[in-house]
Amino acid sequence: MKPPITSLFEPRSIAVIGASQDRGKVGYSILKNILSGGFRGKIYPVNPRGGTVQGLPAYRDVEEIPAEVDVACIAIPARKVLAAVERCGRKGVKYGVVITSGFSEVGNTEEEKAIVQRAREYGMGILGPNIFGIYSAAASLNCTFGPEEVAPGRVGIITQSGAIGLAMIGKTAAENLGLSAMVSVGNKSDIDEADLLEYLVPQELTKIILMYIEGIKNGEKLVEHLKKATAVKPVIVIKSGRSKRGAMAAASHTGSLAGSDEVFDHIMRQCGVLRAEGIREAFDWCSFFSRNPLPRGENTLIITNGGGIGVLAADACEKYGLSLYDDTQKLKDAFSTVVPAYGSSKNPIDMTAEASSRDYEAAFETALNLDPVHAVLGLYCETAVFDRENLAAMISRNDERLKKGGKPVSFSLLGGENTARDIGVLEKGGVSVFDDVYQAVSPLGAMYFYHRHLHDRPGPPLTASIDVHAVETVVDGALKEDRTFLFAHEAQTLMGTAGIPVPRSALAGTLEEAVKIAEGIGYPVVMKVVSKDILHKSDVGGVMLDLLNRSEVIDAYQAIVGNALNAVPNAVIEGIEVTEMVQPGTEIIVGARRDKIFGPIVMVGLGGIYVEVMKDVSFRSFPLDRKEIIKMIKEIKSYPLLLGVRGEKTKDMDALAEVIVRLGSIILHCPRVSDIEINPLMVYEQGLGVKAVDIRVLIRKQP
Amino acid sequence: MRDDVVSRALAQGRSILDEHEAKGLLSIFGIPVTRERLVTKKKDLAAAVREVGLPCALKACSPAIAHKTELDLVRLNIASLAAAARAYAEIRQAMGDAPGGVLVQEMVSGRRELAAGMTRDEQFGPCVMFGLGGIFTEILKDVSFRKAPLTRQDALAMMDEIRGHRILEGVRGMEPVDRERLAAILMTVGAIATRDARIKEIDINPLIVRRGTPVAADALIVLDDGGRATKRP
Repeated sequence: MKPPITSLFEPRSIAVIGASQDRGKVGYSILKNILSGGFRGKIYPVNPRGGTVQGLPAYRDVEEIPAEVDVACIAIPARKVLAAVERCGRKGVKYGVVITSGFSEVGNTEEEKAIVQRAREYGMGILGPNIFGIYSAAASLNCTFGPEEVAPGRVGIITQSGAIGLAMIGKTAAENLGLSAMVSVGNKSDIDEADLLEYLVPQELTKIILMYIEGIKNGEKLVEHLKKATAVKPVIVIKSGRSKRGAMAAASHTGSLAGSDEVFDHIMRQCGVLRAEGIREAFDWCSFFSRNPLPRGENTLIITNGGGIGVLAADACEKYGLSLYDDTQKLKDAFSTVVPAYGSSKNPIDMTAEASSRDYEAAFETALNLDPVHAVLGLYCETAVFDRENLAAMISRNDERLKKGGKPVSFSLLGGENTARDIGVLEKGGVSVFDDVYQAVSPLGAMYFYHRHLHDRPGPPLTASIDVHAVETVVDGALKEDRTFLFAHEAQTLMGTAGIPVPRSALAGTLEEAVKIAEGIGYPVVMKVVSKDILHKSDVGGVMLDLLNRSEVIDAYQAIVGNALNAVPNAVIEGIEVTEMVQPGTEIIVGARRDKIFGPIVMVGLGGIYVEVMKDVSFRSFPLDRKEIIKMIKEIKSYPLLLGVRGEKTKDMDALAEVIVRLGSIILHCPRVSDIEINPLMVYEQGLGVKAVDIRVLIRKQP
Repeated sequence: MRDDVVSRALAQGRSILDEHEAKGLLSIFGIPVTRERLVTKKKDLAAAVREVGLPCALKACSPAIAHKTELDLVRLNIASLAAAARAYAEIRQAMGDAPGGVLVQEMVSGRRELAAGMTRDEQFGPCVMFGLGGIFTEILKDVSFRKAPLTRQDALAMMDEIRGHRILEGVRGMEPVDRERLAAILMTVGAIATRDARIKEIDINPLIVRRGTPVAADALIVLDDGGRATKRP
């Protein structure tokens, strides 16, 4: 058990092990930053030479400190860290902040493990190693070797990259955002993002959480914490390693695994986390969330003085998933006195190039007072007639009024030097204003994603009861033969225990048996030779499809045996498999697996031969509720296939959802089953169910 | 030139070439099409089935019917002459008074369906389309366009441009698509458009890949009749 995480962010005392007088050393910068940052607790420099360091008495050893120490910041050479952690442990230090690098990120994994092991023996938590430190506004603690000046504020940042984190300290100040906390997690040997969220989520100062992630170690824990976090405040994630090359660089960089990006992306969405493409976008979103109220409804209104830019903004709204308010009658009633005769009172509201600041003022006023308008996008193109000396003041005033009225607002101003200057002034004044339309719409899109997440609370997670004993029996049998996969009939048995329909099938040893089986199944049937000596059944004429009646079965039986022996004269024929001929349906792929990072995950997508080609699949962490299952199915581009095309009826979505839940449940309850994939799963019309045609199951000895 | 299928259709006041006519025109230009016979009298069915071979497909073929599948006027995988006779009767009955006949067509075995086509854009003139075929054309809208006439490079670039371009490779043990032959088809579609201004739209869908070679399994051609003909079906 680790001490409460508050001790790390708001310690009453801090020791700096490796504190130095030498300006070139990290231990110098850290102590200096703690001192100049105005930390209110006790500060104890530790240096083997003793004496005074930066005006404070230094202790030779952490254990010599005559009072309790909550946090020890360790900035000494790597080979000395383990011994220092040992002494901290004896001293009863709650958290060790290990700045030092030279551990798992360069392959020195053993030493890092030993440090965590030792710390745990004493109930001490370890942040790092390989970090620049921690900043906490609540304690005025700047325990970093970064900039001396940190602007306190509203964003809590957790970063896996040192360089990006340090740069973001300056950037949050420059962008007028300010930090509530900044934590460098480095190698995440012990404390990870999830632990830190425990502090940041309930903490008052933190309005938004921003995380820069390269790789995740314990995804299941992270998902659980992220779900809780997004119910309280927005969480924005930048994750690198999207590209294959990026993923390789990340893996060698911080010594952790960069997971499959697609899985990460979809699971973040499931958690209600906003994923920003890059740093610019992340900061735009942070600023927007910190300055704007959440909208009360879905309707966005665009106000513009140019038709072209209005259309461009409408395009951007579609891209970012915003709904434009389109009650033309209400808009006409409200705006007809505001808009000039040859303008437009449809959304976008076009004030025309003649518009002055007073016209805009009137339009914003109308938008503020029109109840069904929930968010506003203000666009401006520089014109000769506009009284530009009034632009900044007019925007600033209306920005404030709209926000006070509970309506988020974003602006895009297009023009020359004067406009650029106005953008600068407004930005400093806390207005969300951009020189590009798409950039102005993107944060509003992020806010609506979050708004919808908050209003669409999940139902109870679904799981199916699985006959675990029956599954274990099948798995045991295969493992006894040293196999890591199940044979087709074993996989079918597995489906049977899970209640997923498969084509009916049986092995016939004689012609009479074949006929009997076929009659039992019902026509049409398929017949296949079963022999270890014949690998390519179709090539030797060992497969016959679409057999319609008794006499065709008899003919086929004789033909198959003849063909097989003709091709491979000494073949041992175990029998002829008689299978129900599967009727064509919508071919879907459904999978479930135990992901290295996220634990049980489920997948659904376009099946058949298009799986690899279109990669049209969506993932979720399992278990999940019904709404989320429907969302994941709707996310695939081929979703209209399930609605029915070319006069077909809607497909059996309930049966499909049920298969997803059952596969996920097998993975959840049977740890030795690592992967299940059905492709294709034939999905039939509503009420007619599904059929698992081809099933692959991977197993393993140790969960 | 003026006694071709296009002129005849226009003379009859039609703006649509039916499947059989359209494929006939395409094959003149060297685009591979399915082997097929048009049957207008029941007594000719058996001979047509014998010529085409079993299994075969039967489809309604009429310039008045543009959406055969939706109207349930297509029977696939017909395995016997008796089944063909049944299918013929059903289709004929369902067609009602529509002109035309029933097309007896070889079954093209191939799991990959592509689409090629041409439309005349108001601004850019004739443009060639290439993409995934069958139901995926409408659903995934995974298509690429170029202005006609096409160079070989244009045609090859179109193939690389669609999201599902890997379908053209040897996926799942299937043979890779003959890209040169496919390029030739796309260039030909462009050439037909630039050559004959009376052809307004070409739609080849599906263009089924049979052992690496694309074959036009269905086609439709729309003519520009200067607005004289009655409404399109």
